[in-house]
Amino acid sequence: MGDYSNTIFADIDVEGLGALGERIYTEKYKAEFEHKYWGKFAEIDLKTQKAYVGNTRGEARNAARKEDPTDFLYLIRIGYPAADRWI
Amino acid sequence: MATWIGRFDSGGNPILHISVEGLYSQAESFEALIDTGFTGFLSLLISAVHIREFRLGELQGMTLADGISRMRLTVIVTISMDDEQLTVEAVLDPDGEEVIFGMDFLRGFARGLMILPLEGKVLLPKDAPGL
Repeated sequence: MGDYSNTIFADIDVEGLGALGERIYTEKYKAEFEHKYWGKFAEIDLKTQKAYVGNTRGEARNAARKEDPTDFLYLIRIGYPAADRWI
Repeated sequence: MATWIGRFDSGGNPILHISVEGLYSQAESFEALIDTGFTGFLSLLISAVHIREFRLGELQGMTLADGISRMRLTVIVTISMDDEQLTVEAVLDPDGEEVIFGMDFLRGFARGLMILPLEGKVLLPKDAPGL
């Protein structure tokens, strides 16, 4: 996983990277986070596999970007099937 | 703090004129559909932004009306409305046909939404305690 900060996004494997993020979350964090942080947001750094939790997506993102501004992040809303909903 | 004024498009949908700028791109204006069923901030057509360099945001899931979640990329954009600006992450929609903003847009800019179809008015007044 490299520096994606200037990537042309049409070339990104969205499904593949999303599946990786989902797998990291499920295997390492899901059980603990759904017990402790239901409804909050988490950013998963796909390179380091670290997770950053915040009350808002902005808080989670800022915490992750502070650690490394270039890594690819996967956003989770803890306890929900997806970060956003469109009904 | 003036009330923003939108309008109805030819299909009777409420829309608002917004200006969107990427970190490495020129500002561009869009007629954005107002959709309170969308929890996010802004959804951009991937076809509308593919030739420009927007700064990549992140990946996230999006649950659509059929109940299935799909992966979406986000890009970092700055939205300008009159003298107000916010830098946010916008979802790129590979299948959509419209630029859409959702509930996080209203929260982020602290705006209410009044839709008056009989009068043909779409109003977004400033939302503040005590109003």
